[in-house]
Amino acid sequence: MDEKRIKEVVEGISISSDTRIRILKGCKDKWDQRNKRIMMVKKTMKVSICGIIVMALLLIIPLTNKENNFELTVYAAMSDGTSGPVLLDSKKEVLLQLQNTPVGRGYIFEVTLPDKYAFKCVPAEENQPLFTIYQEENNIYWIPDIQTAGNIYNRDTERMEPQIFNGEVRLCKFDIYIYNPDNVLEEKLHIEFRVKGNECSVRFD
Amino acid sequence: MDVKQIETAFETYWDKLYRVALIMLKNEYDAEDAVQDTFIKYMTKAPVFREREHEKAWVLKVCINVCKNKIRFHSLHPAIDIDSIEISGHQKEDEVLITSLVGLPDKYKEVVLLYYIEGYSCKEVGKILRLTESTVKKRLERGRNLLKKELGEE
Repeated sequence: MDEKRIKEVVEGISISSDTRIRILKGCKDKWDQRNKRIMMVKKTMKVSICGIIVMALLLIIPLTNKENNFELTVYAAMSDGTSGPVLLDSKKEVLLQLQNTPVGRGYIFEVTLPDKYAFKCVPAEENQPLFTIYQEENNIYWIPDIQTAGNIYNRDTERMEPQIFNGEVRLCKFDIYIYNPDNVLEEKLHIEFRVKGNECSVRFD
Repeated sequence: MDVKQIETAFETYWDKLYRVALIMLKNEYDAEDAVQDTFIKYMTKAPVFREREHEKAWVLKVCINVCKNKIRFHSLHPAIDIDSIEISGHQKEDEVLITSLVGLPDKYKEVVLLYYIEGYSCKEVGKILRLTESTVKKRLERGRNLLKKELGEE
């Protein structure tokens, strides 16, 4: 076998000019398709990333706002002698102002919750004699035990402001349980009352 | 990689690659496809070569690998359609030689193509195909013997 013939024969294979044009066109088409595919993948990735970011924001925003949705408004005595509703901040102590409530003289807490949420007020410790608690719709009424719905009047039928406590400082702790629409406990607000004489202040954690 | 470089590479190698692919795949459409895939890889990878010879070895290696993949994945082992390959001069012996060559097992065929047609040494063939020099020599010898047998020279 003449080994040189192999080279000559293979190189002698005729290739038509159409073949060259077909190969060149095929290369161009494949290259364009590849670039389109890459563009599509990049576009899909961009859209996916944007989608993920939007979804994450949609999930994160309600979570970050959740804490603000649980608000406690109390009727407070201001340092300038006036009184009015005050939003209770965590760790900040507020001096409360006695109010007339449907169940007697006491302190009013207004609980602001998201729709279909519910709450329940529970003493954190047993044997806490300072308050009787009434709960009505969004309000909690804290009625010091000495203040009753009947009130006390003197001979001249003037309403008497009873002396609630003497000078000792007494503490009283409650928890407000907040339930989501599925009735699952979602938040627990810890409320601490500090009573000294006629003054009652409150703070929550 | 600029357009001129791609055009130069295409004009330099397309016919060489086509012949190699044609012998490997025994089918002109698959051969065209293999050459296109080789150039797509060339454009995608955009390799930088210090010498023209390195570039030639690279494209041949890629083309042979593309052909091997086509054979492996599509089980392309049809009988050669000799009418689709036209040889200048058109001698009967040439047709027989081409038929025998395309009928060689792939591992012998790739070595024979690089050694006899592209003129690489056994060492260079070994580098391109990642084989030892002695393996290349053995395969060349066996390929040669098979060809001789087919051509009735034994």
